[in-house]
Amino acid sequence: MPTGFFSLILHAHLPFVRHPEHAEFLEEDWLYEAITEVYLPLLATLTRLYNEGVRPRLTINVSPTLCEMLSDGLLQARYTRHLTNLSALAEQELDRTLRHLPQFHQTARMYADNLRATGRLWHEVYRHDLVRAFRGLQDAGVVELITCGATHGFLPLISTQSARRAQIEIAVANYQKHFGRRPRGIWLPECAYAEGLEQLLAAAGLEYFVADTHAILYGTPRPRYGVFAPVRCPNGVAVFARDLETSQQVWSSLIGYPGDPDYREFYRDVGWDAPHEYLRPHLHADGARRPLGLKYFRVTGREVPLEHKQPYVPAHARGRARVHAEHFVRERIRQAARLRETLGGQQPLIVSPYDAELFGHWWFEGVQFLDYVFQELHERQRELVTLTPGDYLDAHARLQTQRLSLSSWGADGYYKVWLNEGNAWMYPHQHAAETRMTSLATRHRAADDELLRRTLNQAARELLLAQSSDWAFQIYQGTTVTYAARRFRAHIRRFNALADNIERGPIDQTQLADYEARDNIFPELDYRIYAAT
Amino acid sequence: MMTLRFPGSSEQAPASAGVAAADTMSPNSGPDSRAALLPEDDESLPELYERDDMQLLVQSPHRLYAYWQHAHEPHATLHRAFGAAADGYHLAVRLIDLETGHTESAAASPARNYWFDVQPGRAYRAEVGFAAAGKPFVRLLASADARTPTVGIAPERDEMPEFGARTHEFAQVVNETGYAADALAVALEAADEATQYESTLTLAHALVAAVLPALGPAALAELRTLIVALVFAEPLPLIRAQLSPPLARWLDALLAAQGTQLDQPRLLELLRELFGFELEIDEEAQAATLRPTSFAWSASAVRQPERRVRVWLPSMTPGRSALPPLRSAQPSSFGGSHEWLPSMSVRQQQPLLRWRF
Repeated sequence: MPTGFFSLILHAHLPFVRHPEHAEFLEEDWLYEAITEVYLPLLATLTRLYNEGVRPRLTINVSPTLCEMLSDGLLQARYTRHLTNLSALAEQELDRTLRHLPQFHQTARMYADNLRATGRLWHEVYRHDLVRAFRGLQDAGVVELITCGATHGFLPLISTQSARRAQIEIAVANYQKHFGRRPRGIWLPECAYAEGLEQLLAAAGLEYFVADTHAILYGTPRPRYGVFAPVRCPNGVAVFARDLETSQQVWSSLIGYPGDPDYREFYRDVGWDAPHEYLRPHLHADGARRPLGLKYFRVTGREVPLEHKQPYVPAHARGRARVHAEHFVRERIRQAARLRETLGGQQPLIVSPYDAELFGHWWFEGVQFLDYVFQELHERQRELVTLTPGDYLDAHARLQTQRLSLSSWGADGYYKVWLNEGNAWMYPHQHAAETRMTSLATRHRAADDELLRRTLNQAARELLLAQSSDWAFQIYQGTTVTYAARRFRAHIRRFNALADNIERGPIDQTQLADYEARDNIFPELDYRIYAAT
Repeated sequence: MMTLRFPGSSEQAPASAGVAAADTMSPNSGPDSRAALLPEDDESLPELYERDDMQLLVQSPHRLYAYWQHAHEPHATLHRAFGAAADGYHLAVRLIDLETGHTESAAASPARNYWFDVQPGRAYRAEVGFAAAGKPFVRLLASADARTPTVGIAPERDEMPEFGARTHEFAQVVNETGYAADALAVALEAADEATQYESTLTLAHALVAAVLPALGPAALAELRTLIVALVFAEPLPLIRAQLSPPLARWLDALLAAQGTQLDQPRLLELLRELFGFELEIDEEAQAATLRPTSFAWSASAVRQPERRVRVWLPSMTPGRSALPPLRSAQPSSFGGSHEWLPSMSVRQQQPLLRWRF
């Protein structure tokens, strides 16, 4: 009998960044960088481990917005262009570093090799369809895929029950479209919980969701096993909560792995360092420098300024990833043993949810780390069993019933990241649109005019895109504030224009076609989900 | 000037510094060229949606946000209804505590929103209307009720025997989650249970000779919460605002006896002497709150405990009072790992304060 269980949950999400109105667009790079650095390496690593008999088992939320982008023909074509461009730069770098910067040549070779492999994966192995690749891993039993809010809307701050329900039901329908089955679980956007959400989840056929630690720890009655066993809401939906110890080992300022001196430094990028004329063919048409993803320095030390960083040595970093993975698994086994004693013999479940994009993008060696973690877990499976929340529920029918505490995984544990003096201005607009959408959907529930139905569906898409928690988050963080605020305003304005068309007529078909072309998310959407029940 | 930043990170893109920076170009792009590419922003959103609406949103256990709008200009409505008698009224927003009936009022700002400081675990309703000295409030808008979450471990235990842990055992479970303050509160509760509710009172008396009123179970729980708040150095004004009057007076007496600063080392020492509780509070971990809390494009600002604290709780079982050995808060075999993430390389750490025994 194993000492305990370990459940790794990765949350893969990006907001819907697709700008067909421009030939190239900076924010679309978020997706392209994530494909190169996170999704392709993760898929390839999990597939290789499986083929080698290691049998990794983990949960991945591929958010609906990400699924839609990964399966979009325009973005796939643009990623091909992005990859071609980056690969060409990496090949050039082989020559430049060999001639002038030998201390970086080894790293340049690593990038060139990686990008050749990336090209093979993209074109030949996955044939531009990463959603199908994730689906294949689920069908093979490697991952349990779960869903999220349709556009990562912050559910507790959505004003109407029908708009909350729409975020969930549209996500479930989208999951079914992409993965050919219904999801068992959901990653609540930002792990944000408020009482009553579980009713909507149950109605959508969802068995469980992921929450932050204090959702359970501060719940009523007291959780017998803390967060080391899931609980059930009174309506039967199960809840899995985050373990802080594992969270800290990856995220912490003091003991977090990514700060190791041998790991790659995120903030030194060839896009800032190389001569502008040399880079010019690889930049966007505006010629502005931007991070290109080739980085030649290592962290070096906590207090070392950027200009004094030392050259990156791939082999050393890989070695540290292995050491850290061994340490991580060893600590989990120790933690499980300690917990089992504390829990009076009950086998603990350690739930470790992370943003997927941490692994590979910010922490460049993160996917290597996961590779080694799964190898190590495989070796020690008699002590610690890896499983998914679905696996756990299949084996453990008897769970404590609890009313959860309001919570999120944002700063301070509640809602201030998404509701504060800097972004509170968004909510009157969003809430008005939510009420209006339900009113329109209810009034036109039986609409048989195709143009009217198209307009109602597009209005729903604009509302959904405005609701993305990403905009409020970026405004709070002070990052890409202009872009986030304009995206929000643009979607609200488009929604209002479409709603005005519906209410007052006539419908501007040119405008409608323009909006449909730009914001083409969820083609399967049916606006009637918003109708009052 | 708009500065390009890495989405999801609070760090600014670094200045060019490097490999062969023959011609350095600012990482800041020109505002006009970039702005032209962003989604259109040629018209602002409506200021109002011409409907009567008032929302009261929970931000945290301590803060609510209210916003409202009127379908019709409210002063015109008032004048139509009251005529000349309307002159003494002003538009006000108020928050009603639905349990105590306490009402907090403020002038309604033209921005049509207001932030309220509130208490955890309470139900509130906000209203906008006309107020005048000595006259009844004329309500125009009311929000739905909003309930703030409680903070801390619930007092209720599961009635199912298999899920009803004994208090001292549950304190250990809470400690394992990393919620040390809550673990300490539950451990004090267990000590009270084991001593006919004398433990916390003994601690309080040892801190200051001021006489405490007779305390029932709820007040004792409040006293435990207060002591934990003092141990964890929560801001005194915040602590005091949440206390019932008798305990607020006791806190005043405590501070009068000790000066404005509480002798926390003394408090920690008392916890060890009286109960065998050992605390290791690593203030260094507070620096974690300064880090950029996101690592990917638009990923979450993931919360971490503000301090890494371990509470060592002796067993409350008679005859098993020996303390466990102090466990290091740091990985024991992990030399050189106490580095911060790459982004922290450009940040300064705060001065450290350590409390260790």
